[in-house]
Amino acid sequence: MKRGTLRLALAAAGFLAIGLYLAPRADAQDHGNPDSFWRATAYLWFANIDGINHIGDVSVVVGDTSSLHASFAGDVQVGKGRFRGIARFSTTSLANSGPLEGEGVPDGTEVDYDFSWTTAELLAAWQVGRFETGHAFKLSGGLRYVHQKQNLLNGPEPGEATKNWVEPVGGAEYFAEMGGPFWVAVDGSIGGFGIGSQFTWQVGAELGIRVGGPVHLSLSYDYLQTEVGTKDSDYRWDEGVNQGWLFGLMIKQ
Amino acid sequence: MNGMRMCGNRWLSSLILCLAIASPALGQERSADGPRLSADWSDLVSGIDIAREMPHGRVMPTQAPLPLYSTGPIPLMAAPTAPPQDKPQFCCDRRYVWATLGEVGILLVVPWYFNRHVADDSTAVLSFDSWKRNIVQGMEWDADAFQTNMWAHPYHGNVYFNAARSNGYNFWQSSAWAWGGSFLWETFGENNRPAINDWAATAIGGIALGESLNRMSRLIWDNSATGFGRTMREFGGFLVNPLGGFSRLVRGEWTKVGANPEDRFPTRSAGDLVLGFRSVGEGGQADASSGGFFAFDYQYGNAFEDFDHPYDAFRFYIQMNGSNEEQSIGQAHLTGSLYGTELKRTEKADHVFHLAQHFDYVNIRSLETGGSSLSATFLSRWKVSDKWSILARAEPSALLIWGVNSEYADFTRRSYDFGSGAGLRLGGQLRKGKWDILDLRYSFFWQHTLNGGVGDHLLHFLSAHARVPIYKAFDIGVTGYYSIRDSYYRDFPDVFRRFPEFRAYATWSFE
Repeated sequence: MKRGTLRLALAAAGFLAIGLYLAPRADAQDHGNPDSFWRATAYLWFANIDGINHIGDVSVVVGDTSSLHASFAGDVQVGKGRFRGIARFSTTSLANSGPLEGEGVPDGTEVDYDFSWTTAELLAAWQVGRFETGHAFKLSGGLRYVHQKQNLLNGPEPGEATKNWVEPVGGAEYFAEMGGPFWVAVDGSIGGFGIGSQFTWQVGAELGIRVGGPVHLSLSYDYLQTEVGTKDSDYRWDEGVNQGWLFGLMIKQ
Repeated sequence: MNGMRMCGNRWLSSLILCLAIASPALGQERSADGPRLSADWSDLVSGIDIAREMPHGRVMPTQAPLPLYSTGPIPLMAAPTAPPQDKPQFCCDRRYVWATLGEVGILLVVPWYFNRHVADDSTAVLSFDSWKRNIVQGMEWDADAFQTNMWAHPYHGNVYFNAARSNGYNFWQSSAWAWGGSFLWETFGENNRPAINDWAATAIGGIALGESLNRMSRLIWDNSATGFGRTMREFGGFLVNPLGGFSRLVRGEWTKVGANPEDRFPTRSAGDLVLGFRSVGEGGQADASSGGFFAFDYQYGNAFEDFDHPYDAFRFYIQMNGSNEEQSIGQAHLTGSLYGTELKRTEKADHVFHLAQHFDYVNIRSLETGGSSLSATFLSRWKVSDKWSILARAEPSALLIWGVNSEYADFTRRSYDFGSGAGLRLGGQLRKGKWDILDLRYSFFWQHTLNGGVGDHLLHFLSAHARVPIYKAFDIGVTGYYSIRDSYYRDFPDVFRRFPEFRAYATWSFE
């Protein structure tokens, strides 16, 4: 069993054990957006990256179909009334080898590479609907900063390509209590629109459990797809995907 | 935990009881006529319900029938009394999580078993390795047919949704079950990589179909009915909402007699059955395709009055096409209010706002398009005179998961591209009494491709409808459509197509 898989299995088992042990002792957290609100979450992220990265005259297939990669993410939310300010951060990296294609590159050429993908978001969210229910629906909008770095370690054209950009993003999130200490959240967003990237599309779902006081644990899945650059760009992704499982430790008041 | 155990026991015993057909209620006669709806009805403009002006009161539920059987001491003077009711006779006084989990489990296992052992589908050969591979590799976009991805999957999402909805979960909580059920199937129900498009289309479309079918089935089920009529109602509701019917069956509610829920009936409920002829042109050839069609157009609630719960107002339209089309289900459109509020009311005008959910499916020879979207819906109506009124709507929309034809199937592996984007729906009606003399609609959609040929699709739909009353509930009508698809590809030649369509039809309206 590979190390990443083992860590994933251990994290999942730990999550379930702690959750099931503590679940009967806790009630669900009130939610929505009361008079004042804050929450902070740290995520252990088991991610994978898929896609073909075009750099100059060559392209490399990025991804790893055999293991997940331990990464990190987090978010902080503060709010009052219907308003909520959200800051999110995530970073993941991948070291692997993949096929390299391009003019003058012999067929079957493999290249070792490092690839990292970091995002930071600043969003403003507005809750739609009523507070005194077991759910909350929020619309959000803001900016996403993205940093990508591709380092080709060998092959015909070794070197480093770095790309930074800021793009608009807008989306929605739905939160619901599911009975007892359990809650779920589903969110989605689109962004880019030719500013920064050409287009981004993201969807995620989170299952959480209040384990006591303000402490929650969560298991979630997040999928982000992005299209970067135009046909003639020196740096381009057509369907770059960053997805994976997240285990969260959350404090919310 | 006690409650959960009780639920499980009740579940099992109810199933056995129903299978044995041992309920005494089978022999009872219907004790009361079902409530009747007012003749007043509302209409829609291809979207949220726009109500007619006549005031309308909510119909109250019928009284529970008197019991015919008693398990207690027999009184000398047998005065019919209601049985003691420590808790409601019909679901649900709380959420039944284990029953929901059981039904979702059945929905996962039964299709898998069918695929594996009946259809002998290689994708149903599961192992721990296949599960691990799906967890590690993550999601991709699949290459299934348009009908499978955009109709069958949302319908499957509807049963996940109603597994929870029929066991005490409210609309929003049941939505989460649709997401979860779909995710579990994608990750663990097949050995190929989970499909992100399936997850999204199944969950979002399933929520829309699920709640509308749940509302319609509640109209059919009548807890106070008995005898053959009751049986027919239970089967009818089961056909409309299989999981709701299944839950009623295992709880023994198919034969139990009692009061109906107070919110069983909406403020309005009515629809049209439409039979007609359609001629669809393609590329300027007006006689390219002709044939018959049948449509069911149902309107529930009143968007100018109903703001309490999601889908208190919705419209459901489904169209079956004749042999000139490859697919029998040619179109389905569903629009439901997730959240609504009044903006302004005056003596002459009403203005309201809704956050609305749309499910659209168009699968005809000339065009495949549709998906799930959300819109900010602004509705207005102005009373011009005692008989005449004008209604209007504007709906800027976000396309969450959408599909549009592609000519480059060799590249995309499908006959359509997947994407997301934005849209705008506009409509206006000139109404005299109950009849829409003129009904104009225009919709625009922009889809940026997420999977397929990189590029953008622009869709325009323009239509004009006119109906003339003939006799009582019958009328005849004509409709002209003009549809435009402009597809701009980064790596392929652009495509521009035009589709005129003409319809003539007869309509029977019911309330």
